[in-house]
Amino acid sequence: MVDAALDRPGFQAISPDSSLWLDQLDQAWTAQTSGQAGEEAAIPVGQQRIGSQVRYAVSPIVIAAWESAARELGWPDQPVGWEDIQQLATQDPDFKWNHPSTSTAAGLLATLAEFYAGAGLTRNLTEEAATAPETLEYVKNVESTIQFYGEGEEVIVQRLAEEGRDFLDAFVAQERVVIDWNRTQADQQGQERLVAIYPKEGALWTDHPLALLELGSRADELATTNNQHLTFQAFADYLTSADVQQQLLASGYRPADLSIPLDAPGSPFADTGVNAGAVDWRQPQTTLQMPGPAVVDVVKNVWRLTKRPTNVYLVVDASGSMSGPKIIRTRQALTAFVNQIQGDRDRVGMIEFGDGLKAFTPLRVMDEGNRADLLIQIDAMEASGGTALIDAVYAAVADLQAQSDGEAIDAVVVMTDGKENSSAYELRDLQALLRSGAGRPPVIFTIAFGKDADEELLQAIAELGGGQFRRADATDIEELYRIISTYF
Amino acid sequence: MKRSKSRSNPKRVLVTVGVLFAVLTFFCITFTMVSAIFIRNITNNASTYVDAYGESSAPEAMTWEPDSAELTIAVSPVMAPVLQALAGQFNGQNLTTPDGQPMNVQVVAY
Repeated sequence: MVDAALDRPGFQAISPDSSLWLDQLDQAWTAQTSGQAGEEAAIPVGQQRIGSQVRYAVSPIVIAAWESAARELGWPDQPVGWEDIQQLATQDPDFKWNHPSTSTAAGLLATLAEFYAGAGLTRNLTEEAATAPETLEYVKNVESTIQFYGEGEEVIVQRLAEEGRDFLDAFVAQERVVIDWNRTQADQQGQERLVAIYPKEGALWTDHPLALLELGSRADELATTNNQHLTFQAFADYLTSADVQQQLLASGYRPADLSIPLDAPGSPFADTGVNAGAVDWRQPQTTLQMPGPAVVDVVKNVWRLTKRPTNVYLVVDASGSMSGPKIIRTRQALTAFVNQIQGDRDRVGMIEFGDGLKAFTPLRVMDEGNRADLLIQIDAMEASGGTALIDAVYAAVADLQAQSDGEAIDAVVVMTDGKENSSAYELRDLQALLRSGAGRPPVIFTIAFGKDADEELLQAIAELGGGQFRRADATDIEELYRIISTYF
Repeated sequence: MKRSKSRSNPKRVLVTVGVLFAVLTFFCITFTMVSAIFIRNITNNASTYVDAYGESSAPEAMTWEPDSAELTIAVSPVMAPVLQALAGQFNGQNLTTPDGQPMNVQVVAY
């Protein structure tokens, strides 16, 4: 959203989950306009990108957990914090939790909360405190127990509905996600309830700004019209009206209007109904102070040092059917993926397959040299031969299991546009291999590129690897690889 | 036999030069037009390819009239359904600007 808002957007207003993104947009716009970055940069008055803004709802960032999982953590009898989650996940390898990537509001706010907890602060998180060795060690310990990162809450909820507790025991989300789940899934579909655990160390909030963009300062873009300003103001007034604030409360958000009682009859925070006890309007007891943009940037950067590292194999179809535009788009998508992997300890390998394994690049840390080598190899990929899909996945899994890197997230990202026709191994061999490993098996993401891919087989492989199956075409394959990269 | 002496007729020369000039001009114009069409076709084909496979073509900018009162809002995926419903209610009020333009809010999930 921030990137789109910088370059002739197809919208005149934005409403991200957190005003953190408005700060980022301001910073990026200032850097773009003034040609400078950082605190020294400034843009002339009247050329700001963001105009009027209003906040119309809030929701604290909580640890959403199945009620049974929450009780294992001591909820509701004792307060639960990040360290408790980490301890349980360390003692019980079957306990699975995650927070979304820091490219989402929930993920970034949870990460900031972890840094606050690590620094032992609730206010004034400074760059020094965020980068202190004790803070980094604390965050690293918590992050080491994460199952994977990934997309936002809406994708997590979708998978929870499909897979239940097999998918995750707990995850970071806005409180509103818990309320909505209990109403739509627990009450109506008979699923177990989720409960909101408010971290005892304190929580940050999403604050749902609605901001008007002042377009037109670039020569090649249309200006926001006076009438659009009027519509913005009318809609902002509408959202903050008493009636709509009540509607937002009914939908699970806390209204921006603090005069509205949260526990009135009919409210999701009332003592009756499916959400009774699952959320608590008196919580969080401690609200953390939102750090400034500079500290947020520092946290995002040092988080890469503390996050769980990744070992990921890109298994890529380079068979004859991939010739032409498909191989061109694949090269671009893989390049985007490799460039997204920025963790100093993340390792990436690649297996190209055709009749057999055409090229095998073992896992390597993505430092400057290795990244350049891999990009050259990607650029040199050519399409020819058959489709030894299972053999290639088998080779990737076997190598990951042989390395037994318990600290890292092991993953395989497989893409094909065709049907298996050249492998020596069969699906059952891959299944046996996955079961034979000592630790947690690698997560396998599968991508069907185009209409001719064997979706049934790809779904089966993703299921074996506890990952996901996705479809892509030439227009969105790059975006899909970018999304998958957020899981690591 | 007396060899007849050939003498150039100035009128005839002028006509010949004129015809030659006309033919050359015709070929030049035709060549220029064919070349232009050819180059345009190449460019169009390249654009089509670039667009279809999403390389570095410039994004198509959204346009609106100078008096437009339609506001498009990019919204986070979690909030989008809620704001979509509220935008629908807002649009149902049929508000207009002082110059009579209908106020309309569109929500796109980002």
